[in-house]
Amino acid sequence: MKFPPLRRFREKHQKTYILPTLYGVALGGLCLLLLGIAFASTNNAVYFLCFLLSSLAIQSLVETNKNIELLEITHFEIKDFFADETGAILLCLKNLGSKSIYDLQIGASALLSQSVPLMPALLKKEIQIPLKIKSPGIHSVPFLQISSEFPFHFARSWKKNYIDISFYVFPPRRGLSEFSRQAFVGRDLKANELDNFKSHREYQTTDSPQRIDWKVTARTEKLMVKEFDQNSATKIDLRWEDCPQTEDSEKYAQLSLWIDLAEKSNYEYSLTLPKVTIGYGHGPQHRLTCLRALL
Amino acid sequence: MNTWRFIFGVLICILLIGENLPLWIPILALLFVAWKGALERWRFAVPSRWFTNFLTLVALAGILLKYRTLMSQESSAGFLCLLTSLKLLEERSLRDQKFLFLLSFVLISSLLLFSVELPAIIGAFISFYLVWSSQSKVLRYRNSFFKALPLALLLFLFFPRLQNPFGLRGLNSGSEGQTGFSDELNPGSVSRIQSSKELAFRVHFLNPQLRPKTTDQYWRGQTLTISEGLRWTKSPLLKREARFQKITSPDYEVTLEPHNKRWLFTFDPTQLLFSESFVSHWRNNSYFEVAAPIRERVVYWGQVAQDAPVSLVTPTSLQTPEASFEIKSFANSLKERMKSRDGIATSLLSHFRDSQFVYSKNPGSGSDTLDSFFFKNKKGYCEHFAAATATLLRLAEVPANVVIGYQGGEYNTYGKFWRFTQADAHAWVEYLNEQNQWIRLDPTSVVAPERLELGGNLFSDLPEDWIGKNRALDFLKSRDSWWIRAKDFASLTFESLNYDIVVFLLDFNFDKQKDLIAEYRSLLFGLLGLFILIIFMKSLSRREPLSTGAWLLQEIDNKARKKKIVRFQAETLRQFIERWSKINPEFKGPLTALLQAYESEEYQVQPPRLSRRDLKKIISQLS
Repeated sequence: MKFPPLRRFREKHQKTYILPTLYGVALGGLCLLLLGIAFASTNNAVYFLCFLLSSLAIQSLVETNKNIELLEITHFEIKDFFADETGAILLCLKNLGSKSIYDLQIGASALLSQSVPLMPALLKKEIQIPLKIKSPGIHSVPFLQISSEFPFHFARSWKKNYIDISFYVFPPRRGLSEFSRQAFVGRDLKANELDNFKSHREYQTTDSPQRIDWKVTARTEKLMVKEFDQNSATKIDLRWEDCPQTEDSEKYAQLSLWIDLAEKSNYEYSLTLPKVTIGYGHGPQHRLTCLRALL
Repeated sequence: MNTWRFIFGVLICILLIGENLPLWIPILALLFVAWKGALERWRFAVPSRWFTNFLTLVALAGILLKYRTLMSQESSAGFLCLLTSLKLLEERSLRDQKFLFLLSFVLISSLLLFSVELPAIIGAFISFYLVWSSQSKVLRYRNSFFKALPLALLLFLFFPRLQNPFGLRGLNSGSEGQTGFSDELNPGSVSRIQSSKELAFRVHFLNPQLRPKTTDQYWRGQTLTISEGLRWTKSPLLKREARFQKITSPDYEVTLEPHNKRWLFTFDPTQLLFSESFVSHWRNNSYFEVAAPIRERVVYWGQVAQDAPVSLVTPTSLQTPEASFEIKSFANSLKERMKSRDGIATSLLSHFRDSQFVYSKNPGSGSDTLDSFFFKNKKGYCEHFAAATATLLRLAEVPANVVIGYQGGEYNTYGKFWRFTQADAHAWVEYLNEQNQWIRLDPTSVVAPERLELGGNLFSDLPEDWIGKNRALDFLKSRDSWWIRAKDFASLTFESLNYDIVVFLLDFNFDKQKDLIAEYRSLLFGLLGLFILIIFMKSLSRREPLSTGAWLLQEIDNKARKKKIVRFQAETLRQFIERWSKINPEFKGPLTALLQAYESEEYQVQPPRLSRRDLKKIISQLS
C-alpha cells in the first residue's frame, strides 16, 4: 500500500499583497469629493484637508503592509485526528520586526480561521487553529493565509504560505466499547489482566467501563483504569466480519474504536479488512498503519 | 474606537460651524452629542434605530422648513451637524463607526467652507486629529497623523490648482444678513452699522511711498447721487468704464470680507483695479462694481491715481430735493457770499463749526429731517452732516454727491496692514470744483476731528462729552496701561498671523505655484534626485531580514574569522564554541553566553528577549 507523503512543509517566496477594502474605496471616494468641493469653491483649506486625508490613507496602506511583512511561519504541523472530533493546526509564528504586530487573521478559509490580537516584537508565538472535519480520508491544506486590516481597515494586506500539507482524518471512534469474543486468541482477558497488572491511569472515553477499578476510583475520586505489562500483552484479531453493524461506515467506525482501545490496552492486534490484512503488532506506528488502512 | 476622542472632535467642529447657523441647530446637535456622552459614561441603553431615524426625519423637516432647500451651504452644513450627532448617538458596530468617520470629515470640510480664519483652521485641525486618532488604540498609529503631514504639504504646494472653468463657486450661501451698507443713506443707517465691530476688510499697502495716516484713510464704497434731503439714494447705472487690468506694481492689496453687495471698497482715488476672482467695472464715473454680489472673501489689488478724478457735470449731480424756504435761503446766501465753489464748501464747514453743531452717537429722532437737523436739533451723526452738506451744496448750485465707505482703520504694526471694521463705516461728501475735479469734503472733520484721528473702533469707546473737545490725546493716554498694551499685543499678533494665513490661502493659485517652482527649481530638483537615489540604493541593498539567530551566527563567524579561527562546514555552533574556548579560554564567558542566546533563539518557542544591542555588547567582549 502506498501512502502520500506525510509531512511536507514547502515554503515559497512569500510576497505581501495589499488591496483597499470597501471602506478604503469609500475613503478614496471621499477624497475625490473633497477635491471637487475644493475645486468648485477655490478653497485652499479644503484642498489641504483633502491632501491630508489622502496622505493619511497612503500612510495607513504602508502601515497595514508593514504589519504583515515581517511575520514568518517558522513551524507548521497538523496531527491526524478522528472525524467528529476537533483537530488542530499547530503553527509557530515569529515577528522578525522590532515593532509589535496587531490584529492578524490566520486561516485557509472562512471556516478555518483564527485571530491573533498581538505579536510582540522579535518574539515567537504558538497558535492552534481548531479544525473540524466530518468526512474521513486524506485531507490537505494547500496554503495558509495571514491577513490584516490593521490599523484603520482601509486596506487588507495578506501573504500566502503554500504549505501543501496532507493529513489523515480517521473514521470516527464509534460503536461497542467491548471487543467481540472472536477477537481473542488463547488466554482469557480477565485472567491476563489480573496476572500482569502494571499501574493505574485515568479513564478515557474510549476505555471499556469493564476496566475501571472501582476501589481505586472511590479512593482517588477519579475514574481510574488498570494498565498491564507490555510483555504479557494479549493478542487479538480485529476483523471486519466481527463488527455487529450492517453499514460499512459504521463498521469502519467500530474498527477505528477497537484499534484505539487495543492500543490503549497494550494488546497486540491484527486487522483484517475485506482486501487488506495487517499482522499482529502494537505501538503508535502500528496503530497509525491500521487506522490508515481504514481509509 | 476611542469614543471620547471622537466625541470631542465632533463637538469642536459643531461649535465652530454653529456660529454660522441658526441657534437651534447647534444646540440640538450638542444635545445629541451630550446624550451620547451620557450613554458612554453611565452605560445606558442605546436608543433604537427607529427612534434615531425618526429624529433624523424631524431634523430634515426642520432644515427644509427653515431654508426651503438642502442645496445651500448653511442648510447642508446644518443637516450634516444633526446627521453626524444622531449617527453618533446610535453607533453600535464597526460599520457605524466607519460611516461616522467618513461623515465627520465631510463635516470638518464644511467648517472650512464657512471660514478660513485662524480659529476655524485650528479648530478643524484639532477636530481632524481627534477624529483620526480615535480610530486606533495604538499610539504609534494615532501619531501617523503627523507622519502624513509632509506629504500633505507637498501635495498642497505642487498639486496644480486649475482654474474653475465653469465659474462655480460652491453652494450658494443663503445668507442675507451680512452687515454693511445698503444702496441708500438714511439718518441712522451708518450708526446702525457702526455698532458692529465685525471685520469689513484688510489692506496691505505695497507701495512704500504710499503711507497714508488714519485721517487720510478714505475707502470709497458707493456714491449716492439722488438727494431727498437727508435721504440719499444711488442713480440708475449710466456709464460703465473698463478700469480693470493686471497691475504690475499695485499700490495696495485688499482682502474683502463677503458683504452681499456688488461694490468694492477702493482707496480714494483709485485708477486701476485687478483681481483673480472677478472682473469689475468703474460705474457712473464714481465707484467699482462687480457682476454678482460678493458672498465670499476676495483679494484684489489697486493702483492709486496721482490726481483727483476729473469729470464733467452730470445731470444727477445737480439734482435737488424739495426744500424748505429757510434751507433755500441759506443756500442762496452762501452762493451770494462766496464766489467760488471751494469757498462755498469752506464756508459751510465753518458754519458747522461755529454754530454749535454737535456730533453725537445718539442724535435721537429730532434730526430726522433736513430742517430739524440744520436749524433746531443741530445734533447728528456723520450721515446727517454728509447728507445735509451735499444737499446744501447742490442747492447752492455746486455739483455734489454723498460717498459712503470706510474711514479710519487700525494699523497692525506686526503684520504691517490696516484693518477696517464696521465701526469705521463713514459717509462724506465730494463736490466738483471749477476745474472739474471731484474734491473730498468731510464735515465730520470739523465737528468731531477725533473720529478721523482715532478711527471708528477707538472712537466708539470715546466718552460722548469728549467729542469735539480735542481730547483724542487725553483719551489715548487714559488707555495707556500694561493690561491694554498686553491685550493689544495679543490681539495684534493674532490678527497679523491670521491675516497672513488668510491672504496666503486666498492668494495661492496656479501662478503662485509656477512662481514657487521657478524660484526653488534647483532645490526641488536636487531633493527629487536625492529621493530617487535613496530609493534606488535601498532597492539595491534590499534583502530578506535576518532572524536574530541567523544574524548572531553571522556575527560570531565574522568575529572568529578576524581571530583567524574558522568554523568547519559540518561543525555545529556548540562544537565550534567549545573548540574556540579551548584556543582562547579568556573568551569562555562571552562565548557561552552567545551560545545560550543562539540556542534559545533558535530552539525555544519563546526565547528570552535579548536585544541585538545587548548581543552586540557581548560580541564586543571578544575583542
